[in-house]
Parts: sequence; C-alpha cells; structure tokens
Amino acid sequence: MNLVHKAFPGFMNGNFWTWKYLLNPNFDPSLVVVAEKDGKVVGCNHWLPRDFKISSNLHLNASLGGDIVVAPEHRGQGIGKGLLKFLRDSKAFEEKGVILTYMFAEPELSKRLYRSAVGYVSAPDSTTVYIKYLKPRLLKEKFISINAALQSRADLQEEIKNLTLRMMFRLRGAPTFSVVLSSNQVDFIEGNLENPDVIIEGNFTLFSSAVEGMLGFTSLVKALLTGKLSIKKGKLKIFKLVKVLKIFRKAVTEVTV
Amino acid sequence: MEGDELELSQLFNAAYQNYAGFVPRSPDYWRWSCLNRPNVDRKGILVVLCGAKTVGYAVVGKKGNIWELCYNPEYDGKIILSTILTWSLNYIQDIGGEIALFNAPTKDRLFREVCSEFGFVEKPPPHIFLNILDFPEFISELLNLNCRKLESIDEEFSINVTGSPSFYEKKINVKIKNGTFSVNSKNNCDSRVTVEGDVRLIVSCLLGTQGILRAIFFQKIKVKPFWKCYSISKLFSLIKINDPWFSPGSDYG
Repeated sequence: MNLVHKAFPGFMNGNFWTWKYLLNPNFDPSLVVVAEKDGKVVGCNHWLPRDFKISSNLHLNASLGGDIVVAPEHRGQGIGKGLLKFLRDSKAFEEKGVILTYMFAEPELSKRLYRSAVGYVSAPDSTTVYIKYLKPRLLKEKFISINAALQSRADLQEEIKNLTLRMMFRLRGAPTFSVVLSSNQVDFIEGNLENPDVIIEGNFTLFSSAVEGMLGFTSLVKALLTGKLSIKKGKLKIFKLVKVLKIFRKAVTEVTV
Repeated sequence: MEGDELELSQLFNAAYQNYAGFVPRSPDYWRWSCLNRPNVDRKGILVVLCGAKTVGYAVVGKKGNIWELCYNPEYDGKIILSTILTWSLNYIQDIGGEIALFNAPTKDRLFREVCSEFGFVEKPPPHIFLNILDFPEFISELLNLNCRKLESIDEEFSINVTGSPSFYEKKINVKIKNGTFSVNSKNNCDSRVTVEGDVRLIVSCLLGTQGILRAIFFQKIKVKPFWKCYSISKLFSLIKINDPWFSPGSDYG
C-alpha cells in the first residue's frame, strides 16, 4: 500500500485501496502480483475477477486489470511488462476460467505499455464523458502555470514581447472567464472583462484541447473558421489570437513535461 | 437506502440492456460500487420515483463525479434526466464541488439533448483495452448466442493466429455442420478453409473494430482458398460483437 500511495498520492490512500480491493465482493488475493527487489516491493499489479458483458445478452468470466504501479526509481527496467505478463504465463487465469482481460487506460499509456507488452487492442467503446466546470479555480490554476512558464522561458518571453490581448471566453461547459496578456504576463480574471479585444464562444473541451496541445494547430484554425469556436468580437484579431493560443500551447507543453 | 440495492441494480441492467462493456449489476456489486464507495455520501444518492416505482437514480461523489446514473426509458426520460441533473448540480455546488462529470452512452440522444441544455460538453473517456485469453471458449460462447443462424453455414474453418505470446492457442478450429458447431485448438485438425492473421487484428475483427473483409482485401488477413472469403465473412458475422459498449464511471473502481 505504501508503494501504491506514493504512486497515486491523494487518490490511493489506504481507505480507497481497502474499498477497491479488500471490500470488493469479487476480490481474489491470488490475483495481486508483487515484484520484489532485494527484499523490497518495487512494483505491483492488481486483477479483479468480473462478470463482464461483451454483448447485450452475453457475459463472460473476465478480469479487470487495475493500478499497476512501479516505484519511480525502478521504472524503465521492464518490471511493468513483467507484472502484466506474469499471471498469464503462470496459467492462473486459465485455472480460474478467465476468458478475457481488460483495463481502462489513457491511449498514451496503452501505446507505451499494454499493446507492446501483451498485445491489448482497443475495445469498441461508445461512451461519452459529459463535463461541466462549475467554478473557475481549475482554469485559474492552469493559467497561473502558463504565466509561470512564460516568465521562466526566454524563448516564450521573446514571443510575447510587446504582445497584448484582452480575451473574454464564454464557453459551454465552463463559467465565463477572461485572460489578459500584457506587459509580458498573463492574468486570469473570473467573469466578464471590460472592453475585451476578443470574445470567444464555443465548446470548452475543444478550447481546452487546443491549449493543451491535443488539438493540432490546423484543427484549431479550422475550429475557428467553421464556428465550433467562434469569435463574437474582434474577428480582425484572429491571427493575433491564434498566435497567443500557440504560445499558451508551448507553455502548457513545458508545464506538462 | 439499504434495501433499495436490488431495485436500483435491476433498473440499471434494464436501462442499459442493449449495451455491453460493463459489469451486470447485482445488489452486492451495486452496494460495493456505489453505496459503499469512499467518496460517496448517502446524501449524494438521488432516487427518482414515479408513484412507488423507481424510475431513475444518480450516485454523486463528493468531488463532482456522478459515478452512475440512469433513467427508465419506459417513462419520460427527459423529465427524469432533467430532475437528476438539476439535483446533482445543486448538490455538487452545495458541497463545494467545482466540476460535474459523468459517463453516458454515446448513442443515447436524450443524454446529448438534455446535457446540452444544461451546459455540459463532451469529451472522450479513457479507453478500454482488451485481450482474449481463451479463444475457443470466446468463439464458442458467441456461436452459442447465434446458434439459430448456423444453418446457413456448412464448413470447417481453421483460424491461425500469428504474433501471439507462447501460451496462446495458435490454431482454432471451428466446424459448423447441420446447425451445430464444435470449436477446439488441436493442431492436427484439417480444415477446408484457413484464415491466418496477427493476433491483434483477429481480436479487432472479433470485437468489431476492424472489418474482416477490409482486412482480407488489404491482405492483412490471408484466406485459403481465397474464394472462401464469403464463408469467412459469414463466420465472423456470427462471432463478431455488434452491440455498442458503454462503461459507467462506477466500473472504473
């Protein structure tokens, strides 16, 4: 549990792990795999047996893979892949009649680990997450991070030199907020802004994807041109806006890394 | 609340009966995934009644995750869903939550319509990744499901799986005759039609995320004799997963 708590701080405290595994009606302790090095636990992987629906009228004996953890100082040594392969190689799943295994993961992690290690493929998924931001705090933290990156990176300082823009965002899925770029820094303001240079409306997750670099630059321009993100005021400043968003993207990438 | 688990789990299973990709609810499972979840307070569970009948519910966590919600489609779904979302958003704001999010089936237009009215936006969920460990059993179960359609096929197939780990079956033999079938992984079985392909591609075709004919056309899957492509296509239509998949947030753990 200490290892898991270190890897997932704030999320995997003892209470949560106990609920997720020990109190789970399907928990099987023989499906928890631990990697040890010099007598110390350096990695673990958990599997939960589950009755799983693969078709509207068919469910099979399956196992959900969850919370694979490798201590940071031991990563990149093949321990994660070894943990994933271990139970399958040991025939433990075969003895329990498990027909398939599955897991939830971000695509990037899947590419790096699951597909290469044990040949997982994407399942057909028709799920949508519906999201709505009720308060701007998380947005504010994002722009504080962007500002910190702008102050610390000479290349970004050069790009924002003498650049000013007052932007107001009225995006579906988030409260109204404003961002002011001036004097080589970025300020976040909750709510409306007096005399903004541009007012942007549209879909919050699309805007967020654009800023976080998950939406390509061309797609951002396309979104602006096709109206998925629309400029309600200051259409002539579109090129300046795109330039500023590009700078934010670079700052976010730096923060992420 | 205790004692309602049976009714709520039955409602969930009925509401999502046309979908796959989740754990069918039992009272024990519902109790674990919703009622006893550490970040769910009893006050965060809403049950919508029509008379004495439960027609919808939501399980809302302390940080704004709506772990599970559903409505009975035999009733006015728009009213039920609107009631659920109004209550949920008020609850989340009352407890100081900053964000509201939940999973819903992409194909459910009512969710899209109501969520749009409430100012929600869409984003993709974490992906499900899957691996089949027991091919013969997997294929047998699906053929069982479609046993009425077996009459149209009279053939012996051999599916050769390449690129798979050492413990995988390399060869799966499927014999369909007179409306019955047998599946085994014996290496010494002869068959009239062989299909050969990479394990990931074969699994993708079985999951319905890749088309078998497309894979054959682009020569990623080899069929011998080639003119039996239509038979292969018929076989895969019986063992392919067709239903949309939906993963409720409460299944993530």
